[in-house]
Amino acid sequence: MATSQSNPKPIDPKGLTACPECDLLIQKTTPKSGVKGLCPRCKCMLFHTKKDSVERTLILSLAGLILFLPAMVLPIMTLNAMGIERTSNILQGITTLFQDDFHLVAILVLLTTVIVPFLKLLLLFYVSISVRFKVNLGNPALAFRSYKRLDEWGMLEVYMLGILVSITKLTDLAQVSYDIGLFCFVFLLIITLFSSVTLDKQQYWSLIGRNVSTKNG
Amino acid sequence: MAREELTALASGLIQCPDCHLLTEKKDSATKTRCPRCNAKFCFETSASLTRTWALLISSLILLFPANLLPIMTVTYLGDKEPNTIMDGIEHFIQSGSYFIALLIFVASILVPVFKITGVILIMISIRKKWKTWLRHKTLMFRIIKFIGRWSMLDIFVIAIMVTLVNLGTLTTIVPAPAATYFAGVVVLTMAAANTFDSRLIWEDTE
Ligand SMILES: [Zn+2]
Ligand SMILES: [Zn+2]
Repeated sequence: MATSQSNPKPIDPKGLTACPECDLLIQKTTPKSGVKGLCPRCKCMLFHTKKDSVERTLILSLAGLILFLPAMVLPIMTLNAMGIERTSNILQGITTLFQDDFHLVAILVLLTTVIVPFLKLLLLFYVSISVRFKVNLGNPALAFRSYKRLDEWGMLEVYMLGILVSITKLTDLAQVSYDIGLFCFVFLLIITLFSSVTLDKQQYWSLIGRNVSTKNG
Repeated sequence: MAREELTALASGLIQCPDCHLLTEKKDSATKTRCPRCNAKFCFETSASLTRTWALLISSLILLFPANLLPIMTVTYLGDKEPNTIMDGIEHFIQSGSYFIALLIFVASILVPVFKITGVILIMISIRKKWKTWLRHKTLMFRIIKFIGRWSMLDIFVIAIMVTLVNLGTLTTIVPAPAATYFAGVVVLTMAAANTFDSRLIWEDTE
């Protein structure tokens, strides 16, 4: 790279950060909680500090884990047409796709609505516990890295929109009613969304970094 | 050149792709790892660009069967009616649900097309070294990453409909081949956006 010759003296990385989207070097600041910082060049979000991030995320991820099973196995809605009743939840949708021999689609739905959302909550709970109580059990850095990679593959909110579209589509055809599973699902969705809102990634990384350095030295 | 316009890479530093920690770049290292999160640092940008191209072209190919073939088959009193994505949108317009029709159109047709053409445009501009509209390109890429997952909407609607509308001889809905192709489009475009490093848009601009 031509630019490396024009700057022969190496720069000390201490006190600096780089923009994750355009790699621009920026002076590190210690912001108060609840503050957002934008990159001066590409305007992406550099940091967004949050109040009591670890405690809140810990509680939300635990609540999500508790709600997970009921949201998956309880019936979400019931269709009633000419005396025939059909109920549906996420797991039934997946098994029907498997029975119809659409294995790839079934696996994708299973991953995006069951496995990834569950893993995200579990990883977040584990990392929050290890940074909050400074326990060095296992590998929180790997867990948090996995959380970040998995993040966009959890699609509960898209599924929620799918429920709404299906209800609209089916009300012409038959009588559709909601079941207890829908409330559990909506709660799970809200908790999952809030857990990513309360999560301060920079803070988590610096806490994990502190754990790593005490482990090594 | 102002100090504020320096990038990490240009000053001999490297930013971890996962936890964004800055460390000094080691000369000899072809494969180093982040001291904090142990993520692999990848210097081979050309390999990552090739991977993005491959994923983009595959998703572009799958886009055709996904839209031309039926995505589900509705059987009503023994009459089989295959439905493409476009047919489904037409049904919603006919029944007066314009908002839902628009929603499905955006999620199933507009978003995949926008994603594929958007990333192709960015990739071409990197290859041709067009150094304009940088902030707009970054913003477009950010939007592409954000909206990608919403394309799964139609797949989830099908998963719900096939379980509920299973009323014996009266009416049934079963998935059709385009469901698999469409799922492929969603996965491949998301993977393409993930393999692409947005820092490449800004590289060599100083
Ligand atoms: Zn930036
Ligand atoms: Zn790292």
